[in-house]
Amino acid sequence: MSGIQLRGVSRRLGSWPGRILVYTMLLALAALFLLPFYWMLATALKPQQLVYSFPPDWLAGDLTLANFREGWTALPFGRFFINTAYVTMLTVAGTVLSSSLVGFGLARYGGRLANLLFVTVLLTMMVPPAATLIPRFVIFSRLGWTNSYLPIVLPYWFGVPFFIFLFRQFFRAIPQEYFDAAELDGASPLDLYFRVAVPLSRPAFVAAALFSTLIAWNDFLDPLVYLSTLDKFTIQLGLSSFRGQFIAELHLMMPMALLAMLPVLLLVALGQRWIARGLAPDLEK
Amino acid sequence: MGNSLLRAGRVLAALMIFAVLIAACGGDSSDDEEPTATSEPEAAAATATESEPEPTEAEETITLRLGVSMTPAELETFEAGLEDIRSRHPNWDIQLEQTPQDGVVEKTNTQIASGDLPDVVHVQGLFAQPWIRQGAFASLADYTSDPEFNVDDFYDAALGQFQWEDALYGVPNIVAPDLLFLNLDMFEAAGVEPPAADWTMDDLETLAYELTLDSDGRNANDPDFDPDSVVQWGLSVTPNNIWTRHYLLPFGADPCANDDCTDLQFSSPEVQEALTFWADLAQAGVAPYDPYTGNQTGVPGEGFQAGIAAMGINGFFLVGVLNATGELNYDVAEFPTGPAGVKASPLSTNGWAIAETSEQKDAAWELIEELTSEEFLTQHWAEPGHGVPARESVAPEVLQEEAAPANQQAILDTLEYAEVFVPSAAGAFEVFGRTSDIFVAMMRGDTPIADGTEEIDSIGDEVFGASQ
Repeated sequence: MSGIQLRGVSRRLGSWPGRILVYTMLLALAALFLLPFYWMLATALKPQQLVYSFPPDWLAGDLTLANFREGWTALPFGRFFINTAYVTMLTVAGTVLSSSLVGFGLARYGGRLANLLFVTVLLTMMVPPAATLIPRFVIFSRLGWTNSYLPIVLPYWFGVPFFIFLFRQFFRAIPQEYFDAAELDGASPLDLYFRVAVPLSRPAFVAAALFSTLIAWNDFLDPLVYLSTLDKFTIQLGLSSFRGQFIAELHLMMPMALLAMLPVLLLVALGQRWIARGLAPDLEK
Repeated sequence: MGNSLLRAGRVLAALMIFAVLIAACGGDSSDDEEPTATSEPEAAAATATESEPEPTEAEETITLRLGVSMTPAELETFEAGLEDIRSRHPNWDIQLEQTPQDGVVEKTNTQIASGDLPDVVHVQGLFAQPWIRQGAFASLADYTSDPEFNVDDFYDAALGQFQWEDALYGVPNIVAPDLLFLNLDMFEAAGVEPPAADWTMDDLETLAYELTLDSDGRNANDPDFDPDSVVQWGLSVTPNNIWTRHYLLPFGADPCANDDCTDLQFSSPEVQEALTFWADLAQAGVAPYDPYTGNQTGVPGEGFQAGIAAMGINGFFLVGVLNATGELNYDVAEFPTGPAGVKASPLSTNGWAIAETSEQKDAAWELIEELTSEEFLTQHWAEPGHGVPARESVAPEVLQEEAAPANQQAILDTLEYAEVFVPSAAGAFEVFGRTSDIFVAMMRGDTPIADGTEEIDSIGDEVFGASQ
């Protein structure tokens, strides 16, 4: 019954009035979701005096790039970009390497202890990061690591629960025969990881790298807590600095937010097919 | 076997390379290359320092961490003043630590919990009391008693924000009263005169009706006026949260039953009657019952700034914003006098405090003396948009005759009676969060004022009773 209904719907959408209706709805939805981005772009290009005008001047005639120049020099945004890229690179490297190794161990070397460890790892995902903020700060502060990138980057070198889960599931989908054959050829556990698991799991690695890039690039809380001087700030702290106690310098914040978005937007655009494949292992195909 | 060792070796090598990279993450910021954008002031500072006397061997270098939360524009002004201080104290190594406004509470709480608060920290008045009562800040009683410091020169209300059990835990540097902003173009279009200095709450009500317009251009006195299609509000706000004591005091009604307002009495007959005055304005459609979210007005934030209200209640900071954008032809007025014969305004204030954990308290105090000196306040805080210097002797420096608004004297006059927002004790933000919807419902008429105020008092008792 439901199959018949679905085929009916499909037929209706297949006709040109149906398609026009669907595409119109999709375009309207897309426009709705793009509206905030358009507002950001419009604000970035407006003179300051038009930022708060009501009704909003959506198609401002006096477009200017002055906000970009002023925002870039009001705070050292060049430095912020370099700092953020540096932190992101180390975070991604640590996340992918450590999480894949742990995930591989949990996937291939089962048993009760491994399952217990896996459940424990999953349980740590339930703890909100804010709950461990102060204990972590105390530890890193005692180590003298505040106002450095160590407290922000180093934890990622000890495995990230979500990515451990992702890699474990992906590695478990690799047929056991591949590992058995390699072991017959004398492969060690590290050989199995590098020669079998890694080449067959590229989508998972790309997806993990993309996701961890997004996380690190947009992270606010850790940099906020651990970084204190402007020369160490990341982009998110820089953007947030445009908001004061009473006022927000939106005309400067928006152009810098636009620039901050571009690298991640580009990455996601280039890697979106890998994200889907990395999250849904389907090695049989 | 050999392959395994080779693989293991590669992993170790990769780990070592990343270890080296990670090691580069650490270290003192002073060792790093400075970003180009900040190199100019720092180079200037270096030049200035070169011309100043170097600290003698007997003068040990004192490192002072100074925590602030400022916008780039504020930082630029502040850093210039800081350079002057550095030049006078060559043995001070002042390390400026900036926290974005959005994260001030989280970061400060973390630093307090771990004993890592900067030696001197800039504190927003509304946040001060919980931290003072936690013991985060050092008592300044011994320092402020010095007659040369002249603590009496500071506005009493602002000092009160940093007072706890007869000791002072912070020194205010700026104060900012709320004012009544008037859109002069809307007054002119309606053919009504801006209020006189001695105006009353009744005048406010009359003006609000005359200045409100619906989509057909009818004002609120017109029998056909449609309160559901307002395009121009007479007044931009109504009481919408627990920090609205200034709306009630002119009616002889006080929602606070004790000094720090941790015992709420919104349900008292006087407060209920005063709230009824404001609810009547909201329900007549001349002032929004939900002034800030944009759900009712269509504009997020306060309506005066957006140009959809003829009269607005807002902080002094708006003077700087309006002057920068130059979009509105405006003036300011003091709050009107109420039936009780008094007027009231809230006062925002920020100040400097010393961390209880600081090992340089004497030097930290000297730095606060510098930061709150008449000279520093005049040169670096007396600008519209920043705040009014917290010393009465230099507060008039903020007046700029050549700039709007015309009635700048109202700013100083308001400071004479303005009082800081209360309650500000621990739990105040929770009470604020849990009761704001009740205020909106009362103003809208969805909740009877008697029921709403009972609930607000009850939430206050629950939260403050548990947190004090």
